[in-house]
Amino acid sequence: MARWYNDPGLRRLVKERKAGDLSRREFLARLGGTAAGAAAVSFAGAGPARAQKKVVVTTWDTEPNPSTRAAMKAIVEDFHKLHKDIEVRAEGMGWGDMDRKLQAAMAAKSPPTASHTQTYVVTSFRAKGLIEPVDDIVKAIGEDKIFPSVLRWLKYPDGKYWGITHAWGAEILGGRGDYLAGTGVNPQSWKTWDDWLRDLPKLNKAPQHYGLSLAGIPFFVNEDVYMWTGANGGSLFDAKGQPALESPQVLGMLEFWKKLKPYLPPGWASHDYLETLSAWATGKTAQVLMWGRTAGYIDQYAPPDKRNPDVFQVWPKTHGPMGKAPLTQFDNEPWVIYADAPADEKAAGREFLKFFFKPENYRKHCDSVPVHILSIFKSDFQDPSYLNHPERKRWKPWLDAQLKWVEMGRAHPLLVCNPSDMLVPWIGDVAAAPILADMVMAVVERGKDPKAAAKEASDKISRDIIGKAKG
Amino acid sequence: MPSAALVLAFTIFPVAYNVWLGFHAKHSLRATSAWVGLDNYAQILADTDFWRSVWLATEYAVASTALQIVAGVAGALILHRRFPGCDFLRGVALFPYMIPTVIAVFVWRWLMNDLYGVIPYVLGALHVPFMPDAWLAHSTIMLVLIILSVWTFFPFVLVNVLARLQTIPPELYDAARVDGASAVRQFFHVTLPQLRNVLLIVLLLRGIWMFTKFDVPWLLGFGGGAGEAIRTLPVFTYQRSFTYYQAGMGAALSNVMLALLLMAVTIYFVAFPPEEDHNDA
Repeated sequence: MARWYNDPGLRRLVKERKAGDLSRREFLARLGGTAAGAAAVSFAGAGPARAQKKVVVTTWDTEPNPSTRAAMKAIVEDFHKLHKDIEVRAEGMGWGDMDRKLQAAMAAKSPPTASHTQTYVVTSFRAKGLIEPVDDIVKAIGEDKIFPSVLRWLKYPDGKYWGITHAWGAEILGGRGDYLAGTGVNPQSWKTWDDWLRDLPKLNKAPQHYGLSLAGIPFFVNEDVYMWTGANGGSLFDAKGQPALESPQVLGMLEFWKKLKPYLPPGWASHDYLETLSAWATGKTAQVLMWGRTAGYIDQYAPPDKRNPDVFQVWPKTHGPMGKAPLTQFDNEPWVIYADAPADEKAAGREFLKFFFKPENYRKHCDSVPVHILSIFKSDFQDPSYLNHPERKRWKPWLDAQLKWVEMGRAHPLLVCNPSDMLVPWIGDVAAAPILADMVMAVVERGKDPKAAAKEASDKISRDIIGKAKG
Repeated sequence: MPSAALVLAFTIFPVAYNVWLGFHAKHSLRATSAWVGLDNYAQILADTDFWRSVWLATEYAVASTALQIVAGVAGALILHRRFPGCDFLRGVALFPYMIPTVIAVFVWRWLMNDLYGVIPYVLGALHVPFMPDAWLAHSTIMLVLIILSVWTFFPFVLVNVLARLQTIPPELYDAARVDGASAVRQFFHVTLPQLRNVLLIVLLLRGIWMFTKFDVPWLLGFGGGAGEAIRTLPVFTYQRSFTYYQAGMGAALSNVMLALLLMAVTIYFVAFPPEEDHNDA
């Protein structure tokens, strides 16, 4: 605590107080500001750095798991060795926390320097002037080194990139291979929703296990709404960005969901996403819509002899009667730079992100959750040192399935059924609101007529989101 | 001066700012806002979802408060007696109230889970009739919310009632027994009148707190899916601000909530004016 004496401001304040030049009230009032600044510096042990003012870069990412935090910490420490004038504070948090914190920060015009976000959020933020292009970062990384299917969702009609993906993944349909015995089901033959519905009863042995597990929380219901609408040849928005929920394709999606309901756990509407993964890992469900991170749940909950892709297989997604090809979700979470952050912090943040994407650093990030955080670089998928990671080797069919989606071009970001949907300015607001999920629940759980539910949802989007956006 | 500044900073200013914000359209991600006058309030009053959330909040508040009072009074009457282990039980009875709400709700979510929950499993094993397939489904999640809330918050009632019971002069009961009053008549004619004031206060406080409770219904239902059936007014208000990104509308909703509560409290004190305590028979 004696370090406070090294601060000239505090020393002068105490001297004035002792000399009687300051009243107690004045001393206390000035002490608050002076002492807080001095304490922050002294407790941080940054005495020597006071002579060299550091630019503080704040990054918020959505990978709070311990292994990714450790990787990020190592990357930041290496960056500090090369940039002694910059201090990076990298904070990991869940998506729910990120959303709330960002709202508060941006409303106060005090955002972090950079953060992860969702692709549809980039559209909304760009429309509101809240973020800046990142062409310099993409160029430094090497535009031609990145999967085109990653970059395509971040380049807007102005020709600029408005985010740079930290890692990608594609959602896959997981199925229990050990539940096929004796059923006569061959999932690899599935092409259409009718094929899937035909075989679901054979995979459903309630209450021991159910045919399919879905999450009922609004965010995850939204995922299934747009994927199945896209698989049915439709979109949630028309050419002008207005809701197109009364289209035959969306109504067909709602009717399809009603037909799935008998094969879902009875409490599915209250299940969150992670519950569906543990249900699959523990054998309570034959199928689940999942991501690479599910491998961790299998290791945690499944019997040791079953922790392999022969049991936990990838089965094909199917398309609806009005569609020609299935659609899956592309998890393409980009880093964005916030326009309201101070200029020096933004410049330093860009330097950090260029460093982050250097091969030796980026590999640490990807290896932290190997089957889920997939590299944006094409070359890594030809690189034995990347592919031979034990987890990537073990779950190779999952990796191959995700790559195939990307190569097919039918992996789209959330709510983007058609590529043009990316430009709908309020797509992020629609994604955050529970309107689409309420529509599904009204039809599937409360028996409402799909047309009436779709109309009600359309009216709410028009009034509560688009109407407010224009106001 | 410092205390006045604290009161201003933490009480008057937030309420005044909220009232001001209710007259504006403000996107939650932007620092700017636009004056819209009474448009927010007009939209609220015309919104069927708003009225549904008021109904759900009222249903939740009335049912859970009433059951908390019943459970709290019953528990206090039991613990007011001296018997072996009563001191230990008094500690245990407080336990639900001491657990952080988030832990209590998550434990109940798992207890009632249709795939793994202990409670559905035991009820099924005992072949209890008329049990739902899933407790956390649309049709039953409100019941779970009420039960969970009663379990969590009844100790507050218990403690307050128990404290009052211990100040009731035993001579009142002696006199009642001499007059031939049974235990039930003693409860209604001696105990309940003596508990009147504390019950009125507890009823008021619990009623307000349950009507404005956000954390329990949000953590149980996450505002959607089956949670749509417990989208009470506080949850609806939160969603307007943080999922629809409409800070102005959210502010207007919370102002409406405040107005509704002020009306209810006014009616309450007119209907049930506090009385002075009389310890005479």
